[in-house]
Amino acid sequence: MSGPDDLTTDGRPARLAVTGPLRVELRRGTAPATALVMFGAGVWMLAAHPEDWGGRWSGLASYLRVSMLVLCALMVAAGAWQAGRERRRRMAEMLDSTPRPAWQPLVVAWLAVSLAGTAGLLLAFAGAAVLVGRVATYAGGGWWWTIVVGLLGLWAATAFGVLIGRTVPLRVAAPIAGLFTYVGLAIPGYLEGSGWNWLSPLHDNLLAGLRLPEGLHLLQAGWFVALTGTLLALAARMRMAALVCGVLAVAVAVPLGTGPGRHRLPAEPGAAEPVCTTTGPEVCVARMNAFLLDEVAPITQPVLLRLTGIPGAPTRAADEFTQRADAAPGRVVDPADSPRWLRDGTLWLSLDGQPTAFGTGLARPDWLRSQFSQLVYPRCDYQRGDPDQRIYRTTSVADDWLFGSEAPPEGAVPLPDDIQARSLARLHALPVDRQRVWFGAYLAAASRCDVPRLIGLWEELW
Amino acid sequence: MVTGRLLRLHLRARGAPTFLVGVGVVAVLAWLGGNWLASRPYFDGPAARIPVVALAPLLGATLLAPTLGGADEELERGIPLPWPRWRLGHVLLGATLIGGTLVLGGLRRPEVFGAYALVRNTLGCAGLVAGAAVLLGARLAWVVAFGYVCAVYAATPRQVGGAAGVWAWPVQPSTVEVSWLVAVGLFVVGTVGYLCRGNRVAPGKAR
Repeated sequence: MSGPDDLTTDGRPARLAVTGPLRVELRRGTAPATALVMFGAGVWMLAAHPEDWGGRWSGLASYLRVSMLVLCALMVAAGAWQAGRERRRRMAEMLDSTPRPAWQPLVVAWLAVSLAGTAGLLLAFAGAAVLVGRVATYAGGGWWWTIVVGLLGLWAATAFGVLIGRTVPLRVAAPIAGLFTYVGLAIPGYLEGSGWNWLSPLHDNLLAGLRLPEGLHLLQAGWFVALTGTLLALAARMRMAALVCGVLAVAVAVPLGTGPGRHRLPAEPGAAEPVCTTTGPEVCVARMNAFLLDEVAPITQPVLLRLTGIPGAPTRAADEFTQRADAAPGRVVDPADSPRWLRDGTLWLSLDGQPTAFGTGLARPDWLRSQFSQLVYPRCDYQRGDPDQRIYRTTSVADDWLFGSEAPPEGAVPLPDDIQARSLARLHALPVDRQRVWFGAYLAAASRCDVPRLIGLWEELW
Repeated sequence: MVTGRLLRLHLRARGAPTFLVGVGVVAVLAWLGGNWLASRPYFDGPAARIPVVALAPLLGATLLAPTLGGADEELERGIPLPWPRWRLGHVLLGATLIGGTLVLGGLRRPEVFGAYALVRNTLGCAGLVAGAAVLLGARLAWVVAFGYVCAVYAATPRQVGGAAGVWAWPVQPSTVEVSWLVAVGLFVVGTVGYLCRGNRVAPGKAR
């Protein structure tokens, strides 16, 4: 005896009974529009912040999860739109009269939207992967897990949309469900540190370069699969299946939620391993950021050369992420704790936000300069009133000297009110050794917030 | 009297009760969300309220979208009424209700809850929805505003004013004048387009 599950009416094999409708859904349902929208959304998200993913595989994978805020909302809207089709077209009665189980067309419709959305998104990210692959200097780590679990989260979002589309008889159910998803996914961002945040497909971009345990990925994958099953079973009104999947989802969610949050993650040792310059003052970056070394060194080495031999000044500069390579096995590093910017003769640089989409050049070279500028700012707590203007001007002169700002050309007469330029010219007019002595004295006074000495140094130039 | 009865029939046919309930729910959620965000210790007022000032007017405008078209557009147009005036009144009334209800929750401390930005975004989103109803029909009128505001919000532009004041008007502080120009411009263009052309009639139904 043949039925809808083994043979179709024209005698073709049963698998065609699924692939046939799926193909039709992929061509004619909400799927093509979903693929297009997800491709556009993926490109838009990638173009919005290339500094978050450029040149780093783990950054790209992590950025996919950051983008889930928008992508899941869109997939919920697409799923709701697809599932509301029967109501909009007034087909419910006709579908009820067919012998095929109700869950089959529902699952096929969900699968078509999920596949199309995933294809559109992966196409956009494949373009970014080509750009990353050209320059990436560290390919290790389980970053691909991040992508796989993210896609499962996306499929769960579509299932949620299908449930909404089936149960809410509103014409605007799709956008409203999408917007509420948007808001709902954003809320965990305000509850940092909780293990329950792992239940969200959304991740923080600070996870790039950190090692997420495989068990965590598996639990997350299990959670999203069980959640998808629950939502689809509810949409198909299959109570027993919904109950079983729901119990499974809760069983996976509890260890995830009660486990450690994202602040207790170790770094990927290979990603944090230092890669250093071989000539000139030492500049080190994490292997994950090694593609930036040729861009960072020309900016930092001249400043380090200028500081050579000055007491209290750094002798090398290093990417702050390399500090995590020294973490003992089992030791965890809190990414929210910024390392002190100057320690053991090393100026610790943050390279966050520096990569570009093509991996060439720095997105914000001025940020690197400002990190060196921290050296010269007096560590004073000006809680009462403004600092003495002479201290402000001394700081500016020291900052200009550090970056080798040119003194006014010989013979040029500074404007009477251009006191600072005149002072810088006087500093440059001193023999090089005395310039360095002055700067060393300035650094010592600034680090102690020795106000009389800072004013004295200003008066030496006046 | 006749106009009053027509108005009641018109509003009922366009799903006004659902719209009113929806706008009320959005306003309450916006008020609760705004209070919660403003009480977070790690944000100042303007940064904290962005989710509310961007998304609440969008939700309101999304609810307005299905009211811009009737069950049978051709049948409606056959009624001898000055439709451009009715359409203008419909959009103005809808935008006023959305903006007015949202602003009620924000006026207590406009510098914290962004009452002015709520008004601006209501104008911009309502204009986008009205314009999209002309081009796509009321059924899909939410798509443009939904896609645009979500895209701008997701891009999290870091600049204030300048080019970002133009393209990212929904997430700019209300002090950025150009963001008002864009939002008011969208409202005027969308409303004028809707009052002149009305909801797009599906090709299959056009004569």
